[in-house]
Amino acid sequence: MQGKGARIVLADLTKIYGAAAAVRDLNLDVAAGEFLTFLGPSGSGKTTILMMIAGFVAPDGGDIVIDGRRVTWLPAHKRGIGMVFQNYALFPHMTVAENIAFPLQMRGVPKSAIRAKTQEILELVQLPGYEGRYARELSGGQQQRVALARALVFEPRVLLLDEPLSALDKKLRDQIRIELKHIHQRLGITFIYVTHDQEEALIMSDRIAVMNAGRIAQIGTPRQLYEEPADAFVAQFIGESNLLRGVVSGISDGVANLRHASGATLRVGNDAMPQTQIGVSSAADLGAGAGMELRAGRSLLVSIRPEHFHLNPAGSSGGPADGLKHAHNTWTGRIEEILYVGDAVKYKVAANGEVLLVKHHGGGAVRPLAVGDAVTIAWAMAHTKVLVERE
Amino acid sequence: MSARPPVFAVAPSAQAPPVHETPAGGRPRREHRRRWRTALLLLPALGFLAVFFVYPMLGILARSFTGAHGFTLANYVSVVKDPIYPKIFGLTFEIAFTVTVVTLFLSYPLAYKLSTVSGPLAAVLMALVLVPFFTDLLVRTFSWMVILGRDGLVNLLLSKFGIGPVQLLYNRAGVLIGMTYALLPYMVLTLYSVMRGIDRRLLQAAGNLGANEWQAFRRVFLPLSLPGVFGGSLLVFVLALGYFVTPRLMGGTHDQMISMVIENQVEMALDVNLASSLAVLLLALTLVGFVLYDRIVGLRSLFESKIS
Repeated sequence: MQGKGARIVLADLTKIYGAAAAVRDLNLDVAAGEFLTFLGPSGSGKTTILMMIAGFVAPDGGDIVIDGRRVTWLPAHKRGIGMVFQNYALFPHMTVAENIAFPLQMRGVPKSAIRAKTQEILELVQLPGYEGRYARELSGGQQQRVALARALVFEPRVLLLDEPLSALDKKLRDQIRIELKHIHQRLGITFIYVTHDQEEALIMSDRIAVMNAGRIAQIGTPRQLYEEPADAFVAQFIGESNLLRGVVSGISDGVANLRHASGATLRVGNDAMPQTQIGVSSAADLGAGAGMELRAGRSLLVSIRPEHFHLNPAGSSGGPADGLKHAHNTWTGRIEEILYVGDAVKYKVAANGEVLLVKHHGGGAVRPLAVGDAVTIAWAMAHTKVLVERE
Repeated sequence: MSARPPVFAVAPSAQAPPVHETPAGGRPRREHRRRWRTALLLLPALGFLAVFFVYPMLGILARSFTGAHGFTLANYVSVVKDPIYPKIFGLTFEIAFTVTVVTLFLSYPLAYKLSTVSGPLAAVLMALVLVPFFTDLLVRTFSWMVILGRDGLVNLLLSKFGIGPVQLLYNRAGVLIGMTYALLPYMVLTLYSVMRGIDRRLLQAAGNLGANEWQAFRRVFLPLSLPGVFGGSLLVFVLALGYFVTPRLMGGTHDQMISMVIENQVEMALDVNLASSLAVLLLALTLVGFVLYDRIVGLRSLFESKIS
């Protein structure tokens, strides 16, 4: 299955709308056969990038190269890129079969071959027998499959997907996500996916480019993004994060002590410093990240995921490190709110002037906790990630 | 659906009127009442139509079967027997058809442009289409007569190139120009409303799938705009059939349309009964046109200006 997808290189890609840059000096190298997702809030430029790759929007600067061929100014209909539109854009006056035949007719494929290919692709998207239906006679999920079939039937080497699942209900979304992933694995072509749904991005992608204000805030595998968020935006956009600030007061043996505004201490390991994998394009922006040093007097922003906090009733037996072998940080606080979310319990804990979000899966704490209880919060140095800050 | 007692036990006092009893007889009655309310809303319009349309129509119908000694078919017999009337009916349909086709070809590109532009240009173009609506038809017709006359603007311009003078008035050309001009807005507006409803992302999708601009237009935009084409054509055709002022003023003696003959019968020949039979025939032929249209295109397409 190797070699079926196309490699896409975006070089200094820029699009300006009015006074604001929708996309700014974007550099990205998408490997052949990769599943890459642009993840970001609306207005972050992710759809504009997709429209430029498809050829619907002309860039104001930079280049788009597909398999070594510069396509920046090639009209959309000559690019041979498949695309699934957000609203599916199925032709309402054509049946399912006619919709799917359309790209083949444009390519002069003979009738008999069109029929065979239509059958084959409908099998792939699990909709055989729907040839004669019109789009309005199909459910949202079925329309989505037809749109996918139409985009894939002419065997493009790249498939662009613009929030294709946003109009579906949650259950169907979960199901089609997995199907899309399987289709990607089976066809081996390059998928470029746009979404604002972080869960979707985490489940499906090989790599995710998190977009913020026309730039890539961070690019990496889903695991890298979740475990090593580069900056506050990524830390808060993917999953939930507690952000704490402290000034380096002393360093010894690769461990830095930060002084929180309340006077409390935060201990951070040297390995918690941001690594260079922040991103191809943003490496320059975040240059500070790669060479960031722990030095006394420096103010640092750190992120701790809610599930990395260990919560215990204050003064409980076993000491503050109960349930955690290597607790390097221990704060005390009081429970302000308890939210039961089914598979987990979330606590909002007021501690040292901050409100920390704590998440316990399953049973959570040994002893049931109630609002108003005094608690200790403990967490490991390894889970305290230092974030890059842009000026 | 039959109503069942609630599955969950609720404190009996909480359900003052037991929930499962209401739907049994209540729903049809409510439906009934709603239908009556709808009928009441229609009443003023229906009343108006009854007094000012249905009643006079019935009067005309009765008159067309009336002779000096009561009921007669003589009016219709004389219309059919006289070679002039079938000829004029044929001419009327011919002119109406020509006007419809010319209007369509002029309006389609204009409506397309209108539906794609936005901002000040759209407002200006729209105003240009609508301005004729705000001016009296008679005034506009006389203006055309000034422009098209022997010493009019058009012939003046043509003479600069050594052409002409060309006869543009009191003949078929005059009728077609005048009627096309007068009926253009109806076609443009009908086309425009349908084209506005066409999702432009469909054209993007067509491009993405390999269609060049012409193919995208031909395979996607044009088929989706057809309800507007049919609707506008029917509207213009029907309006053209009964047109009076423009052909009267701008046409010659060989461009008599049926409405002019009817007027002649009433004003000059004072034969209201024959005029009535002509009017009834025109209406009947128009209805036949509707039926044919429905057979070929389907009247439903008129009301489906937006295809979803």
